[in-house]
Amino acid sequence: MKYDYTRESPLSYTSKITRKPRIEVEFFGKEKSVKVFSIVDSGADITLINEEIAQFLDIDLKGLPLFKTLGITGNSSDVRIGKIKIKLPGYSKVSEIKAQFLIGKGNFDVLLGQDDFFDKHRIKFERDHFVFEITPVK
Amino acid sequence: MIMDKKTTVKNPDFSKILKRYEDQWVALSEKKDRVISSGKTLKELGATIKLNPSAVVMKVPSFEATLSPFNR
Repeated sequence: MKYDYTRESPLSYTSKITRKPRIEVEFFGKEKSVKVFSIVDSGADITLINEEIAQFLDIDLKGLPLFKTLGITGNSSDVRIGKIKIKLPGYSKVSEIKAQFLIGKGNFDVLLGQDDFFDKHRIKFERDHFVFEITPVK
Repeated sequence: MIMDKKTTVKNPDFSKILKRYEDQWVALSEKKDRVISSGKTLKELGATIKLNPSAVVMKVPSFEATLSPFNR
């Protein structure tokens, strides 16, 4: 299925509209689910999820392995690595992907990353005309 | 929502809809054309999401900084 890049508010240094490849993904806890307008991020090694989403879904992070995520400045943040069930719009299949949950405050919602969201989907970015395509393959 | 897999899913213009909600969590209507609730935390939107299971949430980014893999 193809999706439009979003049109979002310009950053303060420019008047140009910000465009992002966002897709509405439903994330599942044991008893609850929530649809998050997630960013498809080919630069993220693994899907990164804001801790507030895990808390909302009553996902217990304490038993999950602790790891670190590293930014371009070399500073690191703690994450817990686990799995979460997801469903894409227009598809009935629920699949499971690996994800890291950021511990602490994060100024983002979800970044869908390489391991293993990109492994399980064929993704084509066509930024020149602000369209991207995602097709489940596994 | 029924979707034809050959058509492109269109989005409304968020530069207008989300202008007032910088750095906040928002719950959008199913068509994502209006904000039905907002708050500083996702937890604040819990009642809205329970009443509107088709709502879509997002954290509106800051307009004063680019988004990069840049940790604290």
